Amino acid sequence: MRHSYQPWIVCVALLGVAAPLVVGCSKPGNSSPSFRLNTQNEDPDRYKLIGTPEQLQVKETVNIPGRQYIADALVAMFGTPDRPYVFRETALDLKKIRMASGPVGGLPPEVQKQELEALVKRYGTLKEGIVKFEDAAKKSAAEAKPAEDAVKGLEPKLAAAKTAKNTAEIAALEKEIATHKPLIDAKASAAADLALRTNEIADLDFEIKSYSVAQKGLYRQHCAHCHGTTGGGDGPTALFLNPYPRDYRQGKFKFKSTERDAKPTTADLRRILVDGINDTAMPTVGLLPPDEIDALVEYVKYLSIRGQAEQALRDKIFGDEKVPNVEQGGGRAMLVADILQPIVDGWNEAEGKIIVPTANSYKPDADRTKWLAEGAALFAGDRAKCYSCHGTTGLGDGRKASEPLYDDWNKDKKFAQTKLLIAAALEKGNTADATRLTNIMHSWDLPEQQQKPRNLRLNRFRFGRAPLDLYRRVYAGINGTEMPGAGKPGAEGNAEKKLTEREYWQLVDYVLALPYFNEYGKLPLLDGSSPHGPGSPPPLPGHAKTAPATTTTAAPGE
Amino acid sequence: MTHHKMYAATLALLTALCASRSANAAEIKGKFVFDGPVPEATAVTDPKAASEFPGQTINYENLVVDPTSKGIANIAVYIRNDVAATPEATAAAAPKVTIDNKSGRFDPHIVGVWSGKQSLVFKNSDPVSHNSNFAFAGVNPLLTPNSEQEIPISGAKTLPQELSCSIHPWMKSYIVVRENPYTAVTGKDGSFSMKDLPTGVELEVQFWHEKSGYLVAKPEWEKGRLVVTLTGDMDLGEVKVSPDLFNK
Repeated sequence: MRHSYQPWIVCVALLGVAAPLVVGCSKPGNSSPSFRLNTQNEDPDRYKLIGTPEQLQVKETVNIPGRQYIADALVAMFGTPDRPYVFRETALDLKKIRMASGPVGGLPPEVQKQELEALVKRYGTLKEGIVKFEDAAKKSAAEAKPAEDAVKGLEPKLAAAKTAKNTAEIAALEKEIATHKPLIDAKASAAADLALRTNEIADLDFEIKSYSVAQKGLYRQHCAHCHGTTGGGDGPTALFLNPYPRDYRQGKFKFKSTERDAKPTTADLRRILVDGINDTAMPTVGLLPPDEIDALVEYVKYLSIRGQAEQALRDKIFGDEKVPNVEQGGGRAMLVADILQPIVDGWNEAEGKIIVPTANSYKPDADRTKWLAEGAALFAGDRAKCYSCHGTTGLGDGRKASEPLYDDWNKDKKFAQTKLLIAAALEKGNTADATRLTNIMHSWDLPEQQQKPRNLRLNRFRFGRAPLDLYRRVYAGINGTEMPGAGKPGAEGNAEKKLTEREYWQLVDYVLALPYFNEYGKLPLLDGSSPHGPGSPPPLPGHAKTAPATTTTAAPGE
Repeated sequence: MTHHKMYAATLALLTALCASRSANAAEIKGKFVFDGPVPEATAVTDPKAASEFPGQTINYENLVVDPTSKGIANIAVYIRNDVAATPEATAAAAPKVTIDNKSGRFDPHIVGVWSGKQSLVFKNSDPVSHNSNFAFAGVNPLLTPNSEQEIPISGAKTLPQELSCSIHPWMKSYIVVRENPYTAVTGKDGSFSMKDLPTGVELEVQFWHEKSGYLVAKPEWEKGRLVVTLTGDMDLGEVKVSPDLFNK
């Protein structure tokens, strides 16, 4: 039996990490942390980065280097670890995020007060100035009205001319329509300016309201030492753990109640925080007050969505090249529509994708031995194929050592993103950038870690041992890993021989019973009637094979 | 400002539509041959292969060269840039792309799927169960014998995406997920044909092989890409590929 971590290593590492964090929080302003990447920009004035119409215009005409744009856009969308922020469109609760953010205990009250005052001041100025834009929008709308009416009158004539293929008249009409265009354009432009400012006011209002909650620095106190400030699974202790702490940034979670390709529900994340994950280094924070746990759950979602947005921006700007091949800018609207919305939709769909077995589908046979024997036959058979990784006897030894398994996070290391970025920087002669990249530790740079098929005899299950939990593992497998899911169960006697719901329950019960099958001779699987070839598997250490092969596994009638 | 962009986009779209209607759909074809001694196929030695697929030889397929024609199979040819499908190509695209698990291998070994238009079907024709771990779509379905599962596809990637079977570790394959229907794969004799391409539009044709990555078969094909604007059919002829490209 192996333990994934040595407590003393964690203690030593914690001493190492806690000191700089505590020191760091005593000097806010000049040493506030940033999220990893490539985010060098900590400018708290988001609208200086992406928002105002004037700057938007600049962004559209001036090429912005790809990585700088990603850094700017991420700060604009998500703020910094000390001063987090989210667009209203994410439907995240900024109050909760704020509570979990910041250095342990929160930024000094006077700093928070100053921040809030600055926000309120800006809000006031904008609110006051909005009249100007409202008037401009109204005025240009009024001016455009006759032009719009004229165009409306001309359009049927143009259509008629087109039907008649009267080229001279088409040209004349198009020319006349074009003369009205500047006024109509001016109206649209004024409306866009007003919309941007209205949006900014709403954003500020949203942010100001979050200050009603005290910042406590919960994430950095309880989570960051393993999961990292950015949630990249790359905290200082990560190197010592097996399995590694989860890297949230792909938005991919292993243990959840939902369909394989769906996000976890809030309840799923909360459960992990409260229960911890058995047989890993993930502890429980269940003793914290409920509002603090809720804050941490929201903060994990926040980091995850931030990471997904980072990936989406990288994909958009870098493609698979890891060096910019698109020089591109874009304002708030683009970031919401192209980057955030698809991600947020995924999270919002989760509640509707919970795997629920058919009501009353669990109907074990009265003959429990037969019921379990059928489960054993499935487990070690060529339809369910469980044995091919978990081993015929469930010890997790079905896979040859020469055929290592890797999960998606470890597979990603093949692409060694940081190394490619360093190479690209060197190629461009940018040694400063290369040095900076060399000095960051990144979960992608942690040594590759093999995935082990679960030893099901340990009686320890990472996401619960309730039959429903295991049903969901049979159904969805484990997201991001080689463990497949059987999907929607087939109907009884289906032609495709898909596993049926009855068979799911048989497997669940068999897996739950496996740890107790340690006495030879009483086991359906190990009595010589093994469905996976003749003879019994080798005896377990410390167990002599004694019992006779005459047992009760044969189904009636056989 | 944005509305200017919108006009420009509309104009570009109209132009594109007109162009695709009036154009004759063009074809790019060619043939890749191995410029050196033909490497021998390596058989899978996993005992599972022998016990589950008795009497069949299963070879690793990361480099398949035909001994007689010296053709290199499984080179993916696809269009890298955003390109609108011609009506001919749209009509020719089947609603589903099927990948069969047959005799302990993925059939076909490499295939393209038109994201948003075509769905993937993972099928199992073998008497034992397989699974299809396709991280791109976040799926890994267990496929019992003679069953199949349809997977809707959205999004795209510029690199082919890995498909693997966890139960049979030697089974590894690739799917090219693009937002256009233009993916061709070389056959046994190393030849490919990509039909119904738009003319008068710049195309960035990408050549890729699982062992070489971007296939720089000619020095002028930077990163294995050929940038071309077709006016009619194009035949690349016989392209000799140095064995060095596969020694990675």
